[in-house]
Formats: sequence, structure tokens, C-alpha cells
Amino acid sequence: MKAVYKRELSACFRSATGYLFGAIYLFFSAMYFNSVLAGGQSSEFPQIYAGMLNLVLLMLPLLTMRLFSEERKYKTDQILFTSPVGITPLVMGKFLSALTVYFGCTLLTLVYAVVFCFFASPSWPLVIGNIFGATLFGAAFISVGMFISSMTESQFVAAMGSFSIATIFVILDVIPLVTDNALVVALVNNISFVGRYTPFTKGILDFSSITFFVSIAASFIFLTVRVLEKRRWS
Amino acid sequence: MMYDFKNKDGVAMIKVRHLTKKYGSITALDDVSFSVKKGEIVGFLGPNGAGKSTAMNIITGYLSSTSGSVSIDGYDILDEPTEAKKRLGYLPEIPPLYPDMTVDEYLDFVYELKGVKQKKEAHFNEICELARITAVRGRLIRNLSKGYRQRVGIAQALVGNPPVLILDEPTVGLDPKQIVEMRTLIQKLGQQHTVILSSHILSEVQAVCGRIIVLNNGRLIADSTAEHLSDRLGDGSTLILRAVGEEKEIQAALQSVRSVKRFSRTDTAGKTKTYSLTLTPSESARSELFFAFSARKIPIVEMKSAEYSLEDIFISLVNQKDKK
Repeated sequence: MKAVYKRELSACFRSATGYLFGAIYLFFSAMYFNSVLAGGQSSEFPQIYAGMLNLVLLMLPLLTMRLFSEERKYKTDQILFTSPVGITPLVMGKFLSALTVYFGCTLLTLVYAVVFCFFASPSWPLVIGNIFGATLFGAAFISVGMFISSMTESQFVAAMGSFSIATIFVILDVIPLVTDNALVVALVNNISFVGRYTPFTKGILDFSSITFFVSIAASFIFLTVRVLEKRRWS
Repeated sequence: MMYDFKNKDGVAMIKVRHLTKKYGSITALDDVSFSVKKGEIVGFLGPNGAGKSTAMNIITGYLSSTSGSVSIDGYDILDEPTEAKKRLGYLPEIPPLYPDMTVDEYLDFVYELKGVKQKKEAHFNEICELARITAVRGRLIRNLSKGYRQRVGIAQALVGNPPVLILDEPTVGLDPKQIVEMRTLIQKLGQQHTVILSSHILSEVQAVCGRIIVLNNGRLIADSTAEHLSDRLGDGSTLILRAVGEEKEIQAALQSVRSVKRFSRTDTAGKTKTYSLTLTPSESARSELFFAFSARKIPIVEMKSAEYSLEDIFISLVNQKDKK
């Protein structure tokens, strides 16, 4: 697991991917920070994270698209699957490497909190809670992207696949605004990634939200393992 | 069955039993069984699409078989994959290289992936020396030539010094000089490792392997030493005879010799005709032929016993099986 983790992480920064992801993340989060700073209210700080959610959904395919599709294309999966390492550790190594890059970016937002100190006193538990929530949010979607990457050998198809799903999630949140049907609204609120994140912005560590993100991540990691396992038998 | 993998000549490092692989309705491997003893160099021979790569992918655990089993050093590849895979070094048809890494970084990755315990520096120096890639260790794999990539692939298989090496077409894409080097390397490796290599080039298998397994259409059609394969074909003795003369006269001469069972013309160059003769085993056949031809004043230009190349063996084996 460690070998794959290290290899993925270094590959991410050997190519432009890691830097590109970091740059886009910092650019947009800085814009949100600018508006927070203008408000000067501590309670507005989570807006940085909440505002970034939809963008993060659309950006994460950048990190996940090549995870397995590239291995398959270059036939390097042959060394992975013939090495004395089980499929689950291989998948975990890849998953954690993408999560690390994303987590690194969210940690960079601490810089904003420090800057914020000069103008107002940020609520540190709120900041930490949001970084925690944003990481869970990312972990869930990274596992979805990784799953899609494991099904194709084309990075482009993998990216478009995850991108489409991300778009669906973004659009999903518009539905409650245009309908009064209580059932639909409840359903959307329950499966919406962004909706599930809302408690974190209020400083609440909502157990059901945490469970939601963790189980999504676990399910798709499991499905990725199954897809890779199944390929040996087909 | 407990000591099944041991036999009197030594321990079977690789044991393949009734291996069948189906891709939907296509049968890629059909009930293939064989075992390889410690220290043997075995060649998989067969045309493209014969099932060589599929067999290797199953032996190394990359694919699973539809039925049948594979064990490495007594460990089943499905039941105890970690133990079995620890004993394997695999060079697939396309070397599994990451173009964005340098050779050293790549070997480092493989070293960690395989969980090798040996001292890294000395081990790397040794395998790089063996694979002759010491000069390119700091270079990006992306920038290496095909020949070097193939050798990095070999080095990768050697990391951890596994007792069993599976090499899928190790000389593909190499120039003639590199092919000779690769053969020497494989022979050298054969002293310490059990090796299976595949090729569709017969002379290559002949040059390196003590034992040859011939695959065609997913079936094992022969499994023996190169010499045995020729023996199998040399049922009666066969002569190649070249003589200068009219076809009718030559045929009359041939028909007059009792020990000639069959003959057929294989080549004509002007008045020189080449015949392939099948003889009943007889000490005097050659002298009878000589006198029969000299009586008719037909000069014999050449008379030699036919030597089969592996090409002939292969074609004949495939035809034999197809007739059945």
C-alpha cells in the first residue's frame, strides 16, 4: 500500500495535475475568502468551504481520472496485480494518495484563518470542523471518481464520467428550489453531497452526515476492488 | 497427492494442472497441464494467439483460469497468492513501466511493492549489472529506447531475486546484437532460477531452452526436449537427394531401388532436381541409390539425411493434431 501511495503522490506532482489542482483550488478559495474578509464576521468563515463544494465536485475528476485507467492503458497494472499485495491495499493506496492531495489543499486554507486573525478572531473549532467536513466530502467523491476510473482505460472517459456525476450532484441542489413536493425535497436533501455538508458550516458535527460520507467512500472503494477483481475472471 | 509436486528428479517449481481459460465462447487455453522442475529453462512456443500470454498471465496470477490450478513452489496461486507471488518475477509482453519515473525510482517502487528485504544498494547494483542498465539508471524511462525498456523490464522481474521467472517474449523489439545479449542473460539466469519464456521464434527457444512446450490454439501439442521433438518426426529415415538429369530418368532410378518407400520432388533448379526420399531402414540404401543412379549415368550432386528445423517440427505437429 505504501509503495503505491508514494508512487501516486509523486506522479501527481511529476505531472502538472497536482499543481493545476492546487492552483485552481487556491484561486477560487481566495475569492471566497475575499468576500468573507469584506464581511469580517467569524460566522461567515465556513463560506469558503461551502462555496468551494460545487467547484470541488467538478475539480476532483482531475485527481481521480488517471488512478486506474492509466495503469490499464500502459499495462502497468500487470506489475501491481502480480505483486504479493492484495487488491484492497492497492486501491487504498491510490485512494489515500488522491485524498492527500485534496487534504493538502484544504489545509492551505488555514492561511486564510491566520490572515483573518488580524481583522477578527476566527472560531477555530469552526475552521477545524469545516476542514474535517470538507475532507470527508472530498473522500466520498474521490472514491466515486476512482470507481469510474477503474472501469475504463481512457482517462478522458474516466474524467467525463466523474464530471457528469459531479454535474448531476450540482444540479440536484437546484431541484428543491423549483418544487414544493416535500418528498422530492427530502430525497434530494438526503442524497445531496452539498446538502449533507450544511451542518458543518453551522459548526455542527452531524453524525448522520459523517456516516453518509464515510459510507459512500467505503462503498465505492469496495466496488472498485470488485471491479478489479472481476476483470481477472472475465 | 500430498507430495505430488515432488518427483524423483527434483521439486516441481511450477505445477500447472488442467488449465482452461474461456473468454466468453472463445477458448484461449484448453486443458493444459505441465510442470517445471527447479532450474529448468522451458520455452513456450506457438504462433501468435496460441495462448502463451494467457497461460503466463494465469501462472502469475494476473488472470484467473476458468478451471484448473497453478501452484508455484507448492503454493496455489489462488489460495495463497501472497506466498506464490513472492516467488515470481514477471516480465509481461509489454514491460510494465511508468514513463514518468527514472529507472532507479522505478526499481525502488518495485522493491517496496514486493516488500523485498535484501539490502537495496548492493541488490540494485547486481541486477542493474546483470540487465546491463547501470548506465541509464538516472534517466527517465520515457526517454529510453525499446531495448533498454525491455531490459528495465527484466531488471524489474529480478528485484527480490525470485526463484521463478516468467518472461513473455523477452527478445521482442530488440536488435540482433541485443537478442544475443538477452539470450546470454537468460542462460545465466537459468543457472539460479526456474525460467519460462515464450516466443514465436523457433530458433530462439531452441537456443536457450532445454525443454520446449508447444502450444497451438490453446492446446498443448508437444512437451519435450528439442532433440526428442526431432526424433518423434524421424520415424523412417529421410534423405534429401539432388541429381542432375531428366525427371523421368531420375524417377525410374528411384523406383528401381527397393528401400525407397516414397519420394517427392521438392525443388527444381534448371536440370538439377531435389527429391525428398523416405526409406525403409537399411544399411545399404545409400549405396544402392548410388549404383542405381550411376548405372543410368545420372550424377548425384548431393545426398544427405534430412535435418528438421523446429519450423518443420512445428508445422508437422500442428498438422498432425489438426488431422486428429
